[in-house]
Amino acid sequence: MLTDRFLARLDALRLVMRGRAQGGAGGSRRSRQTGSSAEFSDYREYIPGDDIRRLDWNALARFDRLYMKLFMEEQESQVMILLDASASMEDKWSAARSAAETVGYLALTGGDRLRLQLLKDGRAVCSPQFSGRAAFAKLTAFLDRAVPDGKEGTLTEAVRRAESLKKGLCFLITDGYTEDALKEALDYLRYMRQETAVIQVLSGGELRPETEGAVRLCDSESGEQIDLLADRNALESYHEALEDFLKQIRENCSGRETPYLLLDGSKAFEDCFLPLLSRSGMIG
Amino acid sequence: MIRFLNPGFAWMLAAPAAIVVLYLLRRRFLPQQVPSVFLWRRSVQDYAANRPFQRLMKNLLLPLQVLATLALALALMNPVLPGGTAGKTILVFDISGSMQAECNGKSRLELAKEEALKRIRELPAEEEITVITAGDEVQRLLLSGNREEAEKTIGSIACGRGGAEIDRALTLVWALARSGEEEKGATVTVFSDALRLSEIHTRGGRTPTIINVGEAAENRTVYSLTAENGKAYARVANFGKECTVTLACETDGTLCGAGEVTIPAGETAGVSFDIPEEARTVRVKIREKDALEADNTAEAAVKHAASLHVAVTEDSVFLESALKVRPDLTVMRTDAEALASTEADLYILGSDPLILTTRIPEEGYDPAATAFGPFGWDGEAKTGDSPAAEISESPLTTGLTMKNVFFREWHPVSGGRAVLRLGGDPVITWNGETAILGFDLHNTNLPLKYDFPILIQNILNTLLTEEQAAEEPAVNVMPLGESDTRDTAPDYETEKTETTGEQGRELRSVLLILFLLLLVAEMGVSRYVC
Repeated sequence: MLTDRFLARLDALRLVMRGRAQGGAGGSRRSRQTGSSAEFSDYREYIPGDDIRRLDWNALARFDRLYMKLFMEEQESQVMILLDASASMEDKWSAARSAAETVGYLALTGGDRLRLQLLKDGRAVCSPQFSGRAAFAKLTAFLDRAVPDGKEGTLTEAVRRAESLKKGLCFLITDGYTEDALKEALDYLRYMRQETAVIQVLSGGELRPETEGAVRLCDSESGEQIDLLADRNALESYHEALEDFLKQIRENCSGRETPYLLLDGSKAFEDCFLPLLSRSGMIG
Repeated sequence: MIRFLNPGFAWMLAAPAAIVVLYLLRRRFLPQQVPSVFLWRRSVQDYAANRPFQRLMKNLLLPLQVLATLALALALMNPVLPGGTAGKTILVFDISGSMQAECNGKSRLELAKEEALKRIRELPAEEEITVITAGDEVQRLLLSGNREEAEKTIGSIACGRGGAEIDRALTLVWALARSGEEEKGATVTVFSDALRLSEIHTRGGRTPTIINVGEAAENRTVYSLTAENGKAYARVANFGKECTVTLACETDGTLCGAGEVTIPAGETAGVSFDIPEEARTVRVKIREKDALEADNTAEAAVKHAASLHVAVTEDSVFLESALKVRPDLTVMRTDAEALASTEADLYILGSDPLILTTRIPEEGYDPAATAFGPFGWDGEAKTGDSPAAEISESPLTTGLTMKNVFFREWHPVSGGRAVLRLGGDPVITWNGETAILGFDLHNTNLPLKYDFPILIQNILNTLLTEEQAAEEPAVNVMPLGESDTRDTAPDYETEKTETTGEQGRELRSVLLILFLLLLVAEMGVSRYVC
């Protein structure tokens, strides 16, 4: 659960999208579409970075608060969160869920329409559409009911079965364990006109394994077993494999102009996630 | 064939198997659930692909450890290959009559030969092998031959019917073992059927290995047989448990009598039969079968003519052999106390010194005395390497050369005329009635020389006059003294001695070095793997 303090920090932030919004009702994103008139539509509070030419000075004089004027040509954008709910996400589910809540809050407070889809067993379980700040509680409730227990299928299959993929922002929150390092999933989302960002979540045990001795590793998702003598050389080899894997994902993301961040599930989420989001360019 | 000097360590050969079992049981994998083995799978593949030697090194550990343990176990068992430093081996075979006794279809001599051949085949190719047989006489059949010659010689050995002069044989053995300028070590093995180390003469702490063959068996023998004046006298010896035997007596092939006698264990008993006056030959046979039937029958010619009687107080096969040459002699066994009542033409008294006399002095014969009539000698014998024998011309020394005759001990004798001196000391002296040999026949190699029977005949011819010689030679009599057969209940405590020559090539040092090398290799591989 995100704390109120953290949520208050999120109020000053907005998700960043390179493209133009294409949506329905008014949102915070610019649209290519221009209205037939500069008819005033609504107010919203000023967020640092907004165009000061649209400040409502009258509201400032009256309420001593800064408000922005919204006109008809400003429209909502769709934000899709694809949350990997396979069994391998269990030990980092808290961090992944918090990341989904954070992105969801930013989307809702930014006036975007939000959907969340759980990727498990080779399919996507879609949430209802959420809109407006008040819908955050519904988002939270939806996530409360989500259980990371998918053991069938692959992430790529589940992504390809995601519903309602309209042009917009897409946040893929996953551990990334695919043979092609998310390449096909990213290509598909790009094909579906998604401006995708990848949040890869790995647990402390995956980033810094402390396994030693003769162990029989059991995959929580597939049940596959590997007998291993976890000596110094074996751990070195694991780290090499991890580095190669992360490098592949980064390369796949950078090659598709996809922002990417690696979230360490063992660290305090609220302390480390916002800097990562900022560095990745996902928020502004 | 490889032999193991310490087979007791054979249990260590199970150690490699234990290592394999521990290896198999060692790897207990603790189950551990992980979110995904995706990265571990990749790392294991890289690990195996990029470190082929790692797997190889791991696979080397087990065989290295097994080989090292095996090398240590074999080293402790101390294997010996045939071959190695050649030395001398002397084999002495008892060919007395008792060696004919059969055991499981094989005679004792055959068993002895088999054992000897087995040992010969394990000797180095360059080993010098001497083969000696000990029967009534000691014969050296092979001197410093090779293995092939030894095998042929041993195959040709046959049993005799008499006793076994093991002591005489060993005298020859020690003389052969000490040959050349320096004393070389030799391995001496005696093959017999009932020999104890305590019964034989050892020299300078050197003792032979005794191999007793055959099994305990009951045996009785017709010890002696004489016949004259209508009577046949047989003496039966029992070498087993107390028993009752039935004796049958035949004269000229016709059964003329039978009798039973009970003989306690290890004792002898006499039986007499009445025979026809005109009988010429007599035969006595034990009816019951035993382990050695060859000695169950004795034959003798019936004496009709007077012959010379020789009374002896101590058994001596050397003398018996020499006296056999005279068929006109009848040898009787007597003792010092019975001398006064024994009528004989010649008395052979004692053994050290040996007294041959035709007349017992008035004061009688005292075996402990150091004088006999006009003769005297020192109680303490002289010992050491004797000087060469010097003979004086006399009837006793006719035909003697006394070449290469050595004495270990001798008593200088005073009185009479000296015919043989050692370093100036008279050791054989005589007068018209008596001849004194101031030494024990066992302490010299004279009995092994041709000079000895000539000397004895000269003494007999000189002391016994022509009138006393028999007109007709009598049939050879059964020899007295040591029996024809040995005790057929041998003692199986084979008393072995340390071999004084190297036999076989020991592999212990090679195996220990191999073990150390394998240990170092295993430690190196283990460090590399870990």
